[in-house]
Amino acid sequence: MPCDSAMVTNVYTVRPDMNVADALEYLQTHNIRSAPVVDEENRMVGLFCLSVLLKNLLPVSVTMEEGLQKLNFLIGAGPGIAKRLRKVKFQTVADVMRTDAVVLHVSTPIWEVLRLVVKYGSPLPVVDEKDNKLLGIISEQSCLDDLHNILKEVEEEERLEQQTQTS
Amino acid sequence: MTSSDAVHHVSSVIFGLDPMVVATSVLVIAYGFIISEKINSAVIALLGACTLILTGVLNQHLAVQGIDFNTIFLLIGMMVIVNITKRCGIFQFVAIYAAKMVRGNPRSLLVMLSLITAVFSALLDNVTTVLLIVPITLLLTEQLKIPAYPFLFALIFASNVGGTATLIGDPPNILIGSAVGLGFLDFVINLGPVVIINLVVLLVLFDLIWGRNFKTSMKARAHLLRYDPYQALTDIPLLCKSMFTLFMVIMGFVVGHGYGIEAGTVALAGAAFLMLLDVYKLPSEKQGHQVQESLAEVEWETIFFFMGLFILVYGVDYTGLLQILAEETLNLTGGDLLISGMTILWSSAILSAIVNNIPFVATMIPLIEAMGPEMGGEKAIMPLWWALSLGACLGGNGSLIGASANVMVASFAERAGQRIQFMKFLLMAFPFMILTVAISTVYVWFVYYL
Repeated sequence: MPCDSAMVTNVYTVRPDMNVADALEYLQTHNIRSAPVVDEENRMVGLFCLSVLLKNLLPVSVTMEEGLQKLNFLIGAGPGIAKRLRKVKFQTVADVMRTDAVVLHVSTPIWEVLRLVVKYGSPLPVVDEKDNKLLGIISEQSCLDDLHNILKEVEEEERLEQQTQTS
Repeated sequence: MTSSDAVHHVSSVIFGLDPMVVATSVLVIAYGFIISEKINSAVIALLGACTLILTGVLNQHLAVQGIDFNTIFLLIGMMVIVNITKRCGIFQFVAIYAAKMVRGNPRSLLVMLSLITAVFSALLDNVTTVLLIVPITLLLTEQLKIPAYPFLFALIFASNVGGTATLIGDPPNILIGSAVGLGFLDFVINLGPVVIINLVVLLVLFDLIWGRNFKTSMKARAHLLRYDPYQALTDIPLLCKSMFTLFMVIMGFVVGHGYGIEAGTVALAGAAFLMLLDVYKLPSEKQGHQVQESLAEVEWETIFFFMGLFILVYGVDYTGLLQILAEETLNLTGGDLLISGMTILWSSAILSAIVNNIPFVATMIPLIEAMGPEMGGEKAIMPLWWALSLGACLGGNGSLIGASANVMVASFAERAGQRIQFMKFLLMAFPFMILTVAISTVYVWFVYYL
């Protein structure tokens, strides 16, 4: 399979009915910034990440399509934003997660994986094409590790080739 | 236009069909599709227009003749000017400035935002105005912890009523003004007073229903007072350029009319001038990019919808149907100006509330023109034009789909998670619309018929 060697399979996941405060703590203990959201049958339903959480703090008039482009006229609103955080913490993961996250399949070619990681950032979840079950994630790190491994193999081959030529 | 022109073309319609029958069928089918809203109206209008040419009712030369390029130029010119102007943040600035001026009092804010919307709508197109006012309104209401619905409702009414006051405020006015040769001031003088009366009555009613019941905390208001409106101004040089151009364009409408310079020319000249100011001194590749952006943001869908519609209406006009309809209408009303005026006012208001008012106005214009000679000439039928404008513009308030500004506000409300229910809006908006049309009826009767 094109990209399964770059895939990490022991993935930290969260459940959609978890509350945001717990999910945040979970991310913190495992020192990660995002986690796929899966249901009881391990089907991926969304992505929970810090950036989505921050987006939820913004007024809807900014985040909506064709909304306000700037907020620099809003001054001294720090406490107000912090209060929003308090409110968000009692929501469930399902309320704030991203449902339109980019996902990969095991059949996705490695070039495409690389392009998507560069464009949408890391990590990207890998799901089964048919039943949408979470198989693993690909991160910038795992991508790079995989490429390093391939490079080693290539160099090994080149070395063998040279040996046969000289002998 | 006259039947003698039509003669040379009759024989060339395919299968020897009667051109009037073909043109009428195409128009009726096209309007049916436009009303059903199943397929994009610009596509329908273009397909209908091309059908008229392909079947031989018109040829391409005649079709182009049917397009009112003054209207097209006016729309394109104003769209370009607005697209450049909106980049400088003036709309947010004015809204925040007003909110601070009333010290965050929600009751006054409702009035202020409505007035701002009405003025902007009169000078720019309604859709752009609400597109820029609604997001900041949502932010302000969220900050004050008050419901957004009354504000959105008031904005819809303010934009449609405000737009009625000028030549460029609302598409029906552009169409009427262009066809009849009315100037900017003609609209302001004839429709301005009734627009102001309507606006005042509406604002008093909005205040009675919502304004006086708003409750907010001093704390929320204090937050709002810390807003700095000047920060919202993103590009002050551009602001000056845009305001200067807009001022010159409006002066051009006023002064140019007397010298026979049409509004379309003034608007296009203004657009070109503002684009010049916008790209002046930039490196050439950046100039190209900037100009492309300004031109690309023109709502081409609207432009092509108008072009298709003009050809469709020209088809039925050219083949003589409108002449027959005009005679029928004259028989019905007995050529009485008062009855005709009131019929036009009320039927256009009710229809505009239910369906897109542009096709209706585009068809009514040649119809009224055809009735003109029988009713005492151009001067005598002037009240009919004002009745058509008032009916078509104010009627748009009647339902959530009555005007494109309404649709825009509704889509914003939906995105913000505060969906406006169709029936809820209708039950309140329709009576309000009837009230404004009733006021206009009295006005038209009092000013033109007494």
